[in-house]
Amino acid sequence: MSNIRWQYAEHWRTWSPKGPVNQFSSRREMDHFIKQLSAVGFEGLGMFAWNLMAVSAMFGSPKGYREFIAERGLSQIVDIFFAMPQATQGVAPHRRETHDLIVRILEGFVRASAGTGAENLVVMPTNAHNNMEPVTDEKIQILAELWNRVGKMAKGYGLKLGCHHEFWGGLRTREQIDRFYELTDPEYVYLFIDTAQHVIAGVDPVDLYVRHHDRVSGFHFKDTRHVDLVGDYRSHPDAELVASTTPRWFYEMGTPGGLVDFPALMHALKEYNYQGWIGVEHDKADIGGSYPESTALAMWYARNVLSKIYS
Amino acid sequence: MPIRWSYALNQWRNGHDRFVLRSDHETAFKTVSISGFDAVELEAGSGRWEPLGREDWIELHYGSVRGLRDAMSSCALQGASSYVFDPANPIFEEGAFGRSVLNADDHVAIARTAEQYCRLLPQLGGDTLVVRALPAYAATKMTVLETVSLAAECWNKVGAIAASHGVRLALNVDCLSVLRTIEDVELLLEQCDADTVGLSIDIADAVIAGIDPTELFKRFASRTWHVQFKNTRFVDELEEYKLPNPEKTMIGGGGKREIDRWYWELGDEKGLVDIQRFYSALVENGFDGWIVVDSEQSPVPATSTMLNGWYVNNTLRTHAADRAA
Repeated sequence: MSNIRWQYAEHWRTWSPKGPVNQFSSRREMDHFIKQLSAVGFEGLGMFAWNLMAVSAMFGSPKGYREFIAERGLSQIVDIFFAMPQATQGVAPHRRETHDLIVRILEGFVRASAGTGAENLVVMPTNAHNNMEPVTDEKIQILAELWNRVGKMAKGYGLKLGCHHEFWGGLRTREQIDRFYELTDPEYVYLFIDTAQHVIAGVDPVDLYVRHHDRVSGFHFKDTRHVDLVGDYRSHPDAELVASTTPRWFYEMGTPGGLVDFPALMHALKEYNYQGWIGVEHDKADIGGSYPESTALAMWYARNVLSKIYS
Repeated sequence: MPIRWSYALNQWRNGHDRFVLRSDHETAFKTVSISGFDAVELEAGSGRWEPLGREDWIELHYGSVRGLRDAMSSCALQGASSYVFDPANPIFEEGAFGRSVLNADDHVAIARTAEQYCRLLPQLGGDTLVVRALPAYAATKMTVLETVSLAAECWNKVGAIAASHGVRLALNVDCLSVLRTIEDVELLLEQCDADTVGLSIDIADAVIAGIDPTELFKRFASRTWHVQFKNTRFVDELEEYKLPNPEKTMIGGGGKREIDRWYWELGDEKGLVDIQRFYSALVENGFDGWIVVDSEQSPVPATSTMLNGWYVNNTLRTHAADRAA
């Protein structure tokens, strides 16, 4: 049994005669999507929570979807991901009065994921930075209250809650992140490391892993060629799309000029005997590239470079 | 020697000035490798936009042939399995703009060009030169017997040269030539030296031409030195191979039916090729050449490569293992 298993976070869009489509447009597209992942060595799949409804419509239930992917070589859904970047009257993690609703929403998704094999509930723990600034210690304490509640709820369903920190989110600096994990319960709240997001925010993901290794529940491995030096993280309406410095933040592992030190991270995982899934994510890969090519290149890198360090 | 798997890069270069950058080659090499294939098949080519098409252009782009081989190795590929050479394509460096095996005056020049690839292949780890056996029907102004006789004369020359370099010459009979039956193919092979000239079977082209590729292989199992794997949804029922310039009018343009894609992935649900049956025949007959899969006409070659890799590993090899058990 290997220590590391690879899963794919389901961002995908590819060409069709009727224009770009994703895997939810038909069973045929889904069949091709899953077979491509299986062909290059993935064993699991990460899902957006809101797509549980789409796969239920296509396969009768999330469990039916799991059977479909298993027939093609992927054993299970690994993560259910949820984010709410815009602060609204009803949903704003840094406002206590919205917590009950957030917990109810997430419990609904957790229940809906029954039968998928999901191990992790992964969340963006804040709204976008520009929707909650200034980020104060009082707000971080309020966030910690919420995610302790959610983590306890998730644990009751057998899932670990992992918090995923976008470079444009409310918990983005090393100080903010460290403070958040000081305030949250290690039994209920875990750190889900997205390598590119941290590098863009000026946080070293290797050092972050070393510091919090016993709190880490998973990873998104992707690369970037940029660090945000000019405050692009505050861009409206979406710092990932309208930044002043680059139209594309994210690249596949192994990209020329990539700033994430993946070999160092794998050495750290080996040192701390990490055993579990690593997710590969390609967000907006078709800005000057393609999802299929990025996926093949990333798994080539995983198999031919990273697995030689730790597997 | 066990069956060896390679992947053709033809569709990655889907435009005359595409697939020139070394970074594009690296992407293709890695995609082929991670999809489970051991080598790549290259096409002979000419001019500054064909960095993999000739030795001189390889040297300009990679410093040396060794440089290209090293680039392949660094992507976890063994090298190049084979080159595909069509004498009718322009060769600017030689002042050639459409040689034909049906013109005896071209035979020496064709053999000279082919020898370049016979020298090149072993340096890249390859051993098979695949040639377009005949031009298209419309470019064939003689009887079938005259056609196969002239072509065999040329390919026997090339076959002897190839053998002297340790390279196997495989004649690819595509869906556009005058050869439309197994018996037609036999006419050609009968006149070729069995020791130095073999057959390349493109299973999709055979089906398009109305030939059962498995029966074709069974008839010439010992002469089959190379196979090309892809699928098709169509048979050329309208005999459009007789059109002028059918490479464009029929294959590219889709003919009267405006067929968008003749060629599809191996596991295509509407595909007409019985690939499992063909593969079983290869295994049962101890085929020891290259199986070269390709993405021809795919809008996303990487997707087709991964889908074909999935099919090979989850369907063909499983199927063959089941039959063996």
